[in-house]
Amino acid sequence: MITLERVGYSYSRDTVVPVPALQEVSLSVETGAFLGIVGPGGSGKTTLLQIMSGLLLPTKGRVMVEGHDLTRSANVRRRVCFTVGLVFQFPEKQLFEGTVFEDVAYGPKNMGLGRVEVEDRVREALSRTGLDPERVAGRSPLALSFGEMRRVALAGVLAMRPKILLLDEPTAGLDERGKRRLGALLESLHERGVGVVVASHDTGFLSERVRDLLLLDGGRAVARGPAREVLEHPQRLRASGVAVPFLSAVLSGLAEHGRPVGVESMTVGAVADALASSLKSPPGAS
Amino acid sequence: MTETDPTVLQAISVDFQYSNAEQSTALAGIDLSVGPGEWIAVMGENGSGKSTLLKILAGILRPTGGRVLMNGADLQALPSRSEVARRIGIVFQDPETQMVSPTVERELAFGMEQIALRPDHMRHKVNELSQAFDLESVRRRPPQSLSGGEKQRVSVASILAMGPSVLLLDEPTALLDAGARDTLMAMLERIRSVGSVSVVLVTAFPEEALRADRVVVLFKGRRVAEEEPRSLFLHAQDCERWGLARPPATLLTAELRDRGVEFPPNVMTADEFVSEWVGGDHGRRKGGPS
Repeated sequence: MITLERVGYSYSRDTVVPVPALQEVSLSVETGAFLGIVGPGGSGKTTLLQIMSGLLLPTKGRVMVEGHDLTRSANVRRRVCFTVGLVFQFPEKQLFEGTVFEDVAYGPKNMGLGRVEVEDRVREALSRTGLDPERVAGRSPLALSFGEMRRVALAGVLAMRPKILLLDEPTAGLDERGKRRLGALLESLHERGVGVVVASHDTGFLSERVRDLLLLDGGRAVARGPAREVLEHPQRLRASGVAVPFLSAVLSGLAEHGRPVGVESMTVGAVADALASSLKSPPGAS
Repeated sequence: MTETDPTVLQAISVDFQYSNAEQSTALAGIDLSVGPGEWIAVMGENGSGKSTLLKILAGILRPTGGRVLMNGADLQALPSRSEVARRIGIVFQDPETQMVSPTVERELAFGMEQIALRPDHMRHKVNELSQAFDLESVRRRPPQSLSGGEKQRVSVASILAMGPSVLLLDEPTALLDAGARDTLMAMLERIRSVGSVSVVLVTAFPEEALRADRVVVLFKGRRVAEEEPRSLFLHAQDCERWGLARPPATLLTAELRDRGVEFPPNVMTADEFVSEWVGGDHGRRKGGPS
């Protein structure tokens, strides 16, 4: 579990114009969470993920991972990097080993695991992302397609078996099939109890999957809650310049026209159910 | 050169093969024609050849078969590369890769300097474009200090400064947030209303493709469809096979029909859905079991 207590972060703080990227963000992410982080460009999404992973230390406040205060010692931070996995934006740009196997094995090897364990983990991580280990393990990552390279990079983090997985704009550049495959992978990780935190512009992708949403604007957490509640009142998203997902726009549009429809969840099926049953008892037809 | 030819840019059975032989043919037999003021969207899954086609249309890559004509003249036969660059502008996904100047206004003038336009004309153009693309307040700032949306507006404006007849855009909004995306698309719509520039827009977003006159679909390096966007998105199975995202409205109306609710299939946006639903005629249960 990761807990942020009134976390602040400023870039260029040694200069006369420090740039505050995060202010007073408090948040806790349980193992088993499925959280989406949305916000316009420059709102602090990436900074927040890097702080949660222990990669950046906050300039204010505290970060606790599994009860340990990250701001206190480098030893704690070193242990954290195996508990919390961070997948950077465009992670495929960081593939550097000669073979897919070596690239995915890099993390587990650094953990000091034995050869057999490393091989097991590499095979499992590749399979999870939908890549056939037999086919790709010996190839150069650079000879793969863009989508496959993205999956190799993801496998490299999964091979460390993090309890909480943080992803920064994981859908960027993926086509429709790639997005669906990624969505299914994140859902299966969530079902297996891994905490999943996704920062993304793609609110449509998030809205169909995550349980909770956090809206950042100007480095502050301006809205947070169950995804359905945040999406049912999209005024805040719109005001922050965040894309309002289609279903959310439909529900708020219907409410504005005096035809509100209550839904169980933000899925196409649930909205269709609610719309269909609203016709059985049209409002005002008493 | 045929001055009366209604096509500004035309690809005639264009083939392209990358030199490393292990890759299959990247493009095969592509025909495409762009009329004056026309907007064409190009869609297709990753690796279908969209970016390659755009680079060939821009004259950056030489097709291994077929021809590309600009106003009837073969691009590869034109004596001057700068003439092609002036008439056919290309904007890539990542604006970082194409910024070369110390300030925004120098960046806007950069292309014009390369084609040696008169200084007073350049000044006039820089003023006009700064206004049209809402860049007045950042004119003297280094492009690197701008937000992603501002950078992409600088890219588009600096290309338009050269007065091209065709603007080629390779997923220009892929890295932008919703606000910046809407702003850029609204500015492109304004250019469209003037009608002097044709646009070829590679996009993964159905909402953007809906703005186009026609959508060209690439699949495994071949052109498998060329259709008006609204009719393309009605073909659920084809879109599925070609890996295209469809407007979410089409998924919702399909689910409603499965539940016995009649609803016109040609509803493509949230606004259209809402007005159709509250409009009265639709959203009624089919006759039958009640």
